[in-house]
Amino acid sequence: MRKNKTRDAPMKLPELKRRTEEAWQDLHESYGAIATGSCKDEVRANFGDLRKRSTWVQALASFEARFHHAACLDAWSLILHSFNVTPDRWDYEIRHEFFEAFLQLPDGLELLKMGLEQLFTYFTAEEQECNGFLELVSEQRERRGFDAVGLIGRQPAALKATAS
Amino acid sequence: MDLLEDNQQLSKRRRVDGAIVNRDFRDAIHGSGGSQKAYPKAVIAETKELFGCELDELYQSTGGKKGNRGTLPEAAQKAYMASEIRATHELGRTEFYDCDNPDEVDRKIVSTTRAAAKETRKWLPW
Repeated sequence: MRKNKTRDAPMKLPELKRRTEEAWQDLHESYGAIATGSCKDEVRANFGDLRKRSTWVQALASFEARFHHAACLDAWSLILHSFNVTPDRWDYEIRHEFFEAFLQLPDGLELLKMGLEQLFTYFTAEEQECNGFLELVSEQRERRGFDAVGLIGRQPAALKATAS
Repeated sequence: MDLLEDNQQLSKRRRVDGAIVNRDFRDAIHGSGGSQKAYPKAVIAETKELFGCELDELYQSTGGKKGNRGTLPEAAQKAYMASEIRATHELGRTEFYDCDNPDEVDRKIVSTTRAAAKETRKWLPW
């Protein structure tokens, strides 16, 4: 198995654009749809000025969020995989935008809650490792000034207690 | 492999269900060096091969609740189980050393999963 190193520096704009293009392609493939325009057209139309880094970050986060939503066979996979972000992952630096874009989806929050319930009901303690997710949610409280997700502290602890 | 002589296999004892099959499938993907997108891509690929539709469409058309495969019809859950068992074994036999970059590893994982699902589909009644 390959060991991934923690990334030393933030993505440079060319990598950010390449990742966005790939995420856009993955998203269209997941829908089984052929894109009618180009990635750039879609980013420009929905996220703004292509010269700004923030535009590409928002676009990448949105495409990634919709892709992981489209692939959500089991809600727990959002907790254990999609949002169990660690510093060695390339998407670590956009984790908050990624998470917030997912919350914007109509059933995003519901799926996250369902995922936690599944995790702490059907998985063994060893299989429940989701520190990356819990840290992300905790950081979200700092970032947004309140527990918008309603998942911090009380619920995971309560679910863990119930499951043990 | 001779099952009766493999102590590691014989020591595992609990009722096997879809969750355990899926855990082994995820472990195989992780063990192959797949990125965080390898598993969701594999799920999308196997769903298309097994059912000829997207995941959302599968949930909607069968009256299931997205995010909970236990709400899918039994036949669909069995299809995922059969496909994931096959894919797990195929991934275990696949060499990934010749892959130069993580994207290539992911592509190989997805193509192996897709091929396993394609073979599984031949057994299915639909």
